[in-house]
Amino acid sequence: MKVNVLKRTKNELKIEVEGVGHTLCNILQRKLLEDENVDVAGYDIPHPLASNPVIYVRTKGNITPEEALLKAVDKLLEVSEEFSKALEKALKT
Amino acid sequence: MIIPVRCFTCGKLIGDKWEEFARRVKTGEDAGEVLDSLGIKRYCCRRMLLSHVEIIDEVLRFYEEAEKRKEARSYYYQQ
Amino acid sequence: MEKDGNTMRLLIKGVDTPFINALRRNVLAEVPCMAIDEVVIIENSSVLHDEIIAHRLGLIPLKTDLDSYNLPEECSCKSEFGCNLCRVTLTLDKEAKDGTITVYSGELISENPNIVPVSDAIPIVKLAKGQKLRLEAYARLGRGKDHAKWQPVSTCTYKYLPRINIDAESCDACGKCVEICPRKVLAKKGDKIEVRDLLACSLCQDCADVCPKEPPAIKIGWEENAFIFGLESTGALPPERIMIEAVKILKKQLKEFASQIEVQKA
Repeated sequence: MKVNVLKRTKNELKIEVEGVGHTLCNILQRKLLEDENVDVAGYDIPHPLASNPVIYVRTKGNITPEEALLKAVDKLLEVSEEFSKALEKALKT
Repeated sequence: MIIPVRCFTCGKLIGDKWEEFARRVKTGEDAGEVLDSLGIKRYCCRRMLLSHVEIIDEVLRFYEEAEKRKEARSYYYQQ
Repeated sequence: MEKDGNTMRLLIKGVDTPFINALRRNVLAEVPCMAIDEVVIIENSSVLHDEIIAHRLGLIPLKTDLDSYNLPEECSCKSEFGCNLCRVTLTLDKEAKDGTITVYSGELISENPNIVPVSDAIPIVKLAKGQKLRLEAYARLGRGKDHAKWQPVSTCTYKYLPRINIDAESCDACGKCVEICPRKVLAKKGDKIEVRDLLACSLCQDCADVCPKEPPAIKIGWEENAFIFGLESTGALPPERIMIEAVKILKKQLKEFASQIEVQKA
């Protein structure tokens, strides 16, 4: 996985992420949109076969887009941790 | 030619079920019921077995025939 | 929720759609499993071409041991040909001595008795009298995104958990909805319509369409954030293991992404 910054202003970030797909981008987008400090969040895969997804985040200014992304990842890690615990519990019975 | 290993559409393993399927249908069982009892429930997998024709048996006959001719010819030239 | 051999159905509550979709995508494309990747054909006089046989061998699902094998690209050997930790050799040596024989997957001899075909009864090729087949096949771990033969599942799906509301006041139990339902979800009990098998419902709305009342006395909806997750393994890995691996991989991806962002920030 490699991240290239395409655009960076005070409250905007546009990155190209190599080697990922909808799997990661879609859950990130959902979690970013749930964050009230985030103004716009979205991603696009310019060509389904030949390109990497481009994630765009714009915050309302009180946090940086990187912080917003990290917060989203943390939230997702929490969810997956919770899920794997519940899964293991369910599989045991 | 020969029964595919997996279903083209979903990837379920069907190759190992062909021989039982063919045998049971030949004895007069209803094909649909055989498929049900083999646990093949999706129609993509069902058509794999239903529409399959084992042509390899026919092709093998040509090989056997060719071998026989070769044998006969070599016998003829020996004379 | 329920499990039957290689198939498993889970009832998952309290996660959102993107998350469950990420899981599904990871199960299909990222969870590694074993399959034959390279074949060295030493002798082949059968009616099938070398390539066809190699392809058929590749599609045979192999029982996978994820703990003792590495993905070749992550293996410590860094070798093009692989080592004992990332490759398994299977051999096959068959000759039809008298009469036609069928070569089965069970006749493949594996160097590791744990990595064997899921089923011993898959026909690989038929040999007429005098034909020979000798080959050496190398199996390795791979991912579904590279080739479908490395998919640990044949189907992996999720759907919303249905919610059926029957308005007891306007419903006169005419039974039309019971009749039309293709999945036989509903049942008539006395002068009431009852839900017999909620999980079978496919949300087709036929029952609501056929209801003579205006508005329909039956309403089909779905629960937010509750899903029925269905998974059918090819036999390479047990379905429980596939789920656990999928979550593990998702966590790994997230952590990697976070560390990349940290680098950008610095």
